[in-house]
Amino acid sequence: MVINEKLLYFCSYVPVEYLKARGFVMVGPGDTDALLDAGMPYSSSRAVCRYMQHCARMDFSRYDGVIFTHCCSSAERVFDFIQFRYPGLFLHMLELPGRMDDMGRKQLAGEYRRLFRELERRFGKREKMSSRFRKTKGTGREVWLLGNSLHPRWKNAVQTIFLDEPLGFSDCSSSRRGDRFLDSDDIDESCPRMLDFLPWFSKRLEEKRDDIRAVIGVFIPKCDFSLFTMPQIRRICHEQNCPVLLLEEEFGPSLSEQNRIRLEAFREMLERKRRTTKKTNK
Amino acid sequence: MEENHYSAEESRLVHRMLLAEKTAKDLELEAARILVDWQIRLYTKTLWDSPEQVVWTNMVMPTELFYAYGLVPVHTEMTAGWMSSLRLSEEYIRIAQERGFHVGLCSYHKAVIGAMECGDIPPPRLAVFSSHICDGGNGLLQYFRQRFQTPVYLLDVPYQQQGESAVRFVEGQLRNLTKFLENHTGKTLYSKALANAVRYSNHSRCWQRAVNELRKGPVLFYGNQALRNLFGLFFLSGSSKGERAAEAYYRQLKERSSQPSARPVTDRPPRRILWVHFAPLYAGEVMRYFEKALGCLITFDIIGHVYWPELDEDAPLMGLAQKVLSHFYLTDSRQRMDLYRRIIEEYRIDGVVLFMHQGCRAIPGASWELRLIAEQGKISFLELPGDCIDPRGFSSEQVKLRMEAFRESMDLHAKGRKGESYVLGD
Repeated sequence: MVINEKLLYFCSYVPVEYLKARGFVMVGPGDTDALLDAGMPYSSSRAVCRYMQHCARMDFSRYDGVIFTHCCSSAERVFDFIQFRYPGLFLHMLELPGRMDDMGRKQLAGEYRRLFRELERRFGKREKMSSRFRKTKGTGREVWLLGNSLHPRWKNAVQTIFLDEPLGFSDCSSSRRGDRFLDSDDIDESCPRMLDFLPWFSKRLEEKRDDIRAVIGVFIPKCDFSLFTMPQIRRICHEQNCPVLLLEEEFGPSLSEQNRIRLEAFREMLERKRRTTKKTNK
Repeated sequence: MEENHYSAEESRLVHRMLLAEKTAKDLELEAARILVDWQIRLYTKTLWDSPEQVVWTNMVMPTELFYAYGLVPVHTEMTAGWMSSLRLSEEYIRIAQERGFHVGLCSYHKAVIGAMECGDIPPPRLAVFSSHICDGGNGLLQYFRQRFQTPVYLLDVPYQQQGESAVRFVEGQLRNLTKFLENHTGKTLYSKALANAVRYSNHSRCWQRAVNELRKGPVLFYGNQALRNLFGLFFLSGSSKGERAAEAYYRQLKERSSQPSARPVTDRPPRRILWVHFAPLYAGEVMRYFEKALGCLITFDIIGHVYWPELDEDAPLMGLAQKVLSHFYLTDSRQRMDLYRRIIEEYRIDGVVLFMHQGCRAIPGASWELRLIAEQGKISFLELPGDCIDPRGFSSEQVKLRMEAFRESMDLHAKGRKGESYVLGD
């Protein structure tokens, strides 16, 4: 079966591997540099977040469809614009539950059924191929880096700073939350858009305190959900005696020099802490 | 946090509210007087003396259910609006930012956070917000829960879905909300009380629609007053006071429509303006300059638009779900643009102003729609950046200059120089 429909997606709640297994070519916003300057016109896009600005600049004529996720007003505005500008394009808005309780899980499962149904209606019935999705295992003690949307090259740049320090990412484009949910709907995941994010974060940090060496929070200046949660994240980390660094960075491939210096200083602080702990243990 | 930290006697907001009470009697519109009188009592008495009656909410959450329970909704937007009018918002926003809240967050929310952090308003006992239009509501709920252990409820509203399943989905959440309210207030929802709330809401809706019909004719009052005070009508939907205020609004305008001498006077030939979004609440003088000196009369404001259908008295929760889902910022761009075009035509609009409130993503993010309409319809469009609540960074002279240029562009259009389109914000 050779099917080449290309679908764009912007969020880790989109079940990418499941869709690949149905023959779709899935493209994330960090997978291509093909940006088009004919995206949202005029100056309107300055009100929406930089991640959505980036998404709005993509060349949509190259794709057969786009799967949005209803996370914020910026996503709504870009969805509107693409719908207006490309009337024939397959567009789908995946609704995210407000919280990941039993109701939320039921809602999310229903949302995936709706997505598959609409895809089928548009592109025809697909024989389900076996999923190639493999769960990734944790690497032991790691620095937990959480944020909204992080560009793959930005993540690589950060990884070069923390060479011998494993990083675990939780952001809009990592984690494959959608696939994990479909594999087993008891995933222990949340995102700042969800009302239970902070209790989830606090519990997760407490339970995995031995595995999480430190927390780095990265937020885009116009993502309200992250902006609201960051002061609380700092407080929770302080309460649990976990080193924390909060960074502000616009979505994009490059790591700003200012943040590079802060990350390097944070890594040095962690190293010093590790050395001190070793000496104390001796 | 200890509750006794909060005291009405020490609250600067209460002190200034009591001072404002004296000037509120001079308000031109009776409806505004009713609303302001109620709001002053709310912030100086109810919030402190009967906190168990209060439920914090946001502007797009339907209030009918709260009134049916005998609860008093307090809106974050209205609260921040008062803080700004009373020149307290700057201080509160500074406090919120000192606590780690980002400069880019909406000032409506930061002002409320700052006031709670410094003890000028008590922390919420209960909070129920809707997720649509404003992302900050969700964040504020998380803050309430984390900081004050407030029980919170979020009404999750899907996007661009008005079909039966979406209505059922929201209706189901409203049903769950009744259980939540019962659990946390100990109150019971009586069907008669809900029927009354729906009836009040429908009556109020009828009066507001009648007001909007009158506004299609000659301009009967300075529209800035509606932006400043009369959005409060929506906060009273479902209450007898709301119905009374809406009726008073209609009756006064009806009376004025037959008395040309009671209509607003302008220094220059009047132009009819559609205002989109709220306006800076600390800058009354600039808004008066816009209307009186420049003759740009705010004929209609989009926040006064009655977008929802009549509520079904036999199926109130379904009616409320339909009300939520019918908001024009949940529809697609084409429908929204059709709505704007209809308003521009029916209200004979000469120019459109979109106030680009810093911190808002939903409305300024769709500014391209208005610009496209303005270009196609050859009317002037002003994209005015600023902040409704935070006075820092506001330059009245710069804003006046932009307003003057906008006025000039409308004069050019009036002289028939078609094709000239003046758009600020490029």
